[in-house]
Amino acid sequence: MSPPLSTVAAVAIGGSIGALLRHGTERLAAEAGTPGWIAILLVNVVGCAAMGFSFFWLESRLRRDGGSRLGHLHVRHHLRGTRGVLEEDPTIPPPELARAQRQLAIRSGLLLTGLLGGLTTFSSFGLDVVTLAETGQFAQAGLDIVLSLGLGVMGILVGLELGRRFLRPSRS
Amino acid sequence: MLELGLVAFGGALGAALRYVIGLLQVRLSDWPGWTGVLIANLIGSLLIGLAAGSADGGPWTHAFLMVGLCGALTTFSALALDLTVLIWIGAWRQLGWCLGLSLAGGIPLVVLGQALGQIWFGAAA
Repeated sequence: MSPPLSTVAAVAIGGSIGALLRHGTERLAAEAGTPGWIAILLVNVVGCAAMGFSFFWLESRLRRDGGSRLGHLHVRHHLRGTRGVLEEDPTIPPPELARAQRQLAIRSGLLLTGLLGGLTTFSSFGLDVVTLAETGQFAQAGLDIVLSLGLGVMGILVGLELGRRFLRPSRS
Repeated sequence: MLELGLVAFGGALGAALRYVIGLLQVRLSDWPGWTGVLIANLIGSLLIGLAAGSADGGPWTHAFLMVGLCGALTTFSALALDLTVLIWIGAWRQLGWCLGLSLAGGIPLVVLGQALGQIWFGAAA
């Protein structure tokens, strides 16, 4: 099985939008006199919250093969009985299952892998940490690392929680 | 306008490359799922160091390579999601590896890239 070109295209389109949004945020922050590393930190944390929410949204709505990673997260308790997400649903005909998986792949590619993956960044974060350390701003470098990781994981959890509260994992 | 086009082009390329790296990692190795993002992040860290070390600050280096390609090839949200899952299932060893390799790999690779960029593409080169 080779990667469907439509998914690669969806990822690329999402990636270009994400990169443009990040670039725009960096430009706005520079005009406002905000340090560059704070702009990237902000983009990453907001992107993580959006990732948590969108991951819950797409997985709880479109996953049909029972293999969702939501089963490895606290929100699994709220998805019990939602067929196809955390456990296999033998009532789904194979063609429909294949169609649902394709749909999930394309939408995840566009929104999660592409847009949010491209909006958030590790390389600029790493360069910021190195630049801060090289210019003697060790406290800021340490703060950047701790806040990026801590608030990033917290962002994911907040996003998942918002999804759990405000999205109904209902099925047609 | 050229600048925005280069950011978008680099971003499309970077994200697609990260996706393909993830597919190849699943296909060719039995490593845990988070290693795909890790590999993309490490490559992007070296690359952004190279670009930052080079003397060329033109739009292709900055907008295309650094903001677009490296920015989208690497990701923080997928890393944070992987970390959250590892924390939640209590896979502490894997969490240590994922965190350790990302930070202790990524940050030195930026420094290494910067040094190589100065040697290969620096003002004196």
